Amino acid sequence: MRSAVVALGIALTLMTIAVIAVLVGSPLATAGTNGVLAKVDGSLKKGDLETCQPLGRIPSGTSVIRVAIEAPAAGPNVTLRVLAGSRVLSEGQQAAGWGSAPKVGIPMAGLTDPVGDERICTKIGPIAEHIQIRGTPIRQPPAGAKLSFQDMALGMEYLRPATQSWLSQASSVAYRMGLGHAWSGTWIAFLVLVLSLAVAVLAVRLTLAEVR
Amino acid sequence: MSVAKAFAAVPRALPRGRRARGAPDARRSAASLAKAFARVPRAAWVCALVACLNALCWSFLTPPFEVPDEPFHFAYTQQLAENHRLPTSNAYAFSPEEEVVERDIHLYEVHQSPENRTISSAAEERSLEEALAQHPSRRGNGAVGGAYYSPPLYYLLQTIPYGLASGGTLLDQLQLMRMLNALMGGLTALFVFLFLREALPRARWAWTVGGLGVALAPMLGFMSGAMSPDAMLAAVSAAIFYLLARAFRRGLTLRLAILIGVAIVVGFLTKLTFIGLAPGIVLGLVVLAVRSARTHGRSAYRNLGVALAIAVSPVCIYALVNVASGHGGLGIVSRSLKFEHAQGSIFDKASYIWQLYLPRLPTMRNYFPGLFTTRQLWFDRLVGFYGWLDTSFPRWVDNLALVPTGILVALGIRALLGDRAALRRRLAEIVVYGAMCLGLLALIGLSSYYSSPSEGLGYAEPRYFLPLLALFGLGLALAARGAGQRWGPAVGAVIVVLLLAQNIFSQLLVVGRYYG
Repeated sequence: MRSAVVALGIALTLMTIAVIAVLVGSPLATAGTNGVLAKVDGSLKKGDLETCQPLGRIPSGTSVIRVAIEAPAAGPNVTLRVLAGSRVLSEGQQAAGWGSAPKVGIPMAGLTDPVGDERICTKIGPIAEHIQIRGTPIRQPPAGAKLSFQDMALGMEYLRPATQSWLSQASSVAYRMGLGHAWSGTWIAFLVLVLSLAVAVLAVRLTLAEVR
Repeated sequence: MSVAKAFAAVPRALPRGRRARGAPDARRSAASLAKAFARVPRAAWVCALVACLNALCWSFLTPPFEVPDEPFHFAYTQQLAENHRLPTSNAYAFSPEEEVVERDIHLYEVHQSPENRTISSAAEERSLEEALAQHPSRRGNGAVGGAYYSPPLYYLLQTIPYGLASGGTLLDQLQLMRMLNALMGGLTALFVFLFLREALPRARWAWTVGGLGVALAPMLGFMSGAMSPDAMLAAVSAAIFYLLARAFRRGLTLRLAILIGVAIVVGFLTKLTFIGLAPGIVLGLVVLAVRSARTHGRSAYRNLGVALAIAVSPVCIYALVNVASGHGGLGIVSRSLKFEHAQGSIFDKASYIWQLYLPRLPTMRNYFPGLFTTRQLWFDRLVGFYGWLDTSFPRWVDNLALVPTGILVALGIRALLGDRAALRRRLAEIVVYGAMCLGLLALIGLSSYYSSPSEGLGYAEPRYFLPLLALFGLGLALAARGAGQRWGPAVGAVIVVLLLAQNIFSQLLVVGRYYG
């Protein structure tokens, strides 16, 4: 049927454009940190908490901030807000359910270099499992009380798009794909490419033959 | 004597009369097997090839041990092959060789730390090669981590590639073992295609849409490209769906009963998750026997008995051995199922399981504060969730995926509602598949309920749904049919490209995560 061929052609074209768009884009790279050391490793059993700390200097072009909050399997909702006084300059959020990682990446929009006394506030939503936080105490809790989330400055990493695109890094990615496997060599990357193309060609040919 | 010579000697050792009868029997069996293979449509073989090549591709691009539990599964096989004994503990202390590889590929720095890349320089590669060249011991102390409670069949099979590559390094053995899994991925796609042929006999082109959809599913590729019993469980489950669908169309013959019984045994001996499917399968067998009894009399119940006897025999033997050796009836399995530590009322468990998959009802205690489980634990993770639960797409991709998924679900419902007469006619069959699905979901939920105090939501992994791939394929085929005769093939073609795209972007995601 002609409609199936046309649909297949359009869908394949869109997919190819999307692949090219990804490849000409740049991976994220760490541009700096907030210098807060992981002196305290705390465990949180309840969420709905917020802590604020001085923003410090943020590298220009930062689009993602990674915060030292670790979840075993499904992390909570985490919101970051950059505030100047009570005015929100920028905000980002990672929805709950993110996987197992020692840091959670939060996409931020419209971050600019700080000009004065901006603060960055981290809000953790309700939690379904215990989470770990890492950072440095910024104030001492009252005598006899335990250090709370609000007493901590959290470790943060600033990420921004690298200067090179994925495509221009292809040879180094191919080189690394050939390391640490049963058989060494850049040819592994080409084998993966050939297998991937074979899968696509077989699937498209079968679709054309059977679905028309 | 080599294995080949031993097999060759068997016919000669038989008495003359038996050999004379046995030869034509063997020829007849071989001929009927060849006929059965010839009846499988070419498209089914192509689907199997696509799944196999895709899994092979994943096996090369996923770094060693960067798949959930792969180090444990490897250790189990190594224990069987080197020490010729079942594992003795769930500790995390493996053979010196495996420990060397884990150290030199930086396993514990990389897994669950997406900001860290795997081995990336010639110096690190040399260090790994030099460490392996010293031939560290392959004998562990019987510890296999989380694989301790698993049944041994899958690992016994994996001793074949392990032995074939024993002249090489651990990495060679692991790659060959992953290739065996790739074959299982191919079998899964093949059986799903055959299941669709039985379930939707009038829509030939839709079989291809469902079969290819499953073959290209990145989660099948990821798990079949690794060393994990999940791939074998997926293949066995798909085979059972096919056999049941065939029995629903053609009746429960003795041959089908035997095949279903054997498939159940293989399932039980592959992975304990299979227990979740078992009640639905038994229900299916009972329904089939009752139906067949109307036309074939009591012989239908004999076939049911044969299937069940074959199915439960290994469980009975296992329980007898355990009781005789002074252990609990289900041995280490009962510890895995945690019957010994049962806690909470049945309502608590039911409420937890409900909320693990669906939005909480007003009267329920909230087990997942802040989580929309249907979306955030399952849908987003089905879109893409790789590595050690640490690699996923950005949120906007999950949001985007909601659009085609919503359209396909609507089309699938349209297809079902469009043929209500067929739905009514096949209600019993649908209930059986539903029971298999619910049984698996309940088992995953119950395991999560018991383990959540110590492991959090570690069971919220989409790979546990792989035994239901046949139903996923059915859903895709129905969605294509739901678009009607005119647009159905076009929608089918788009579905195939959607899955192809999901697979390609998943592979790019994994490449970027480990080698970027």
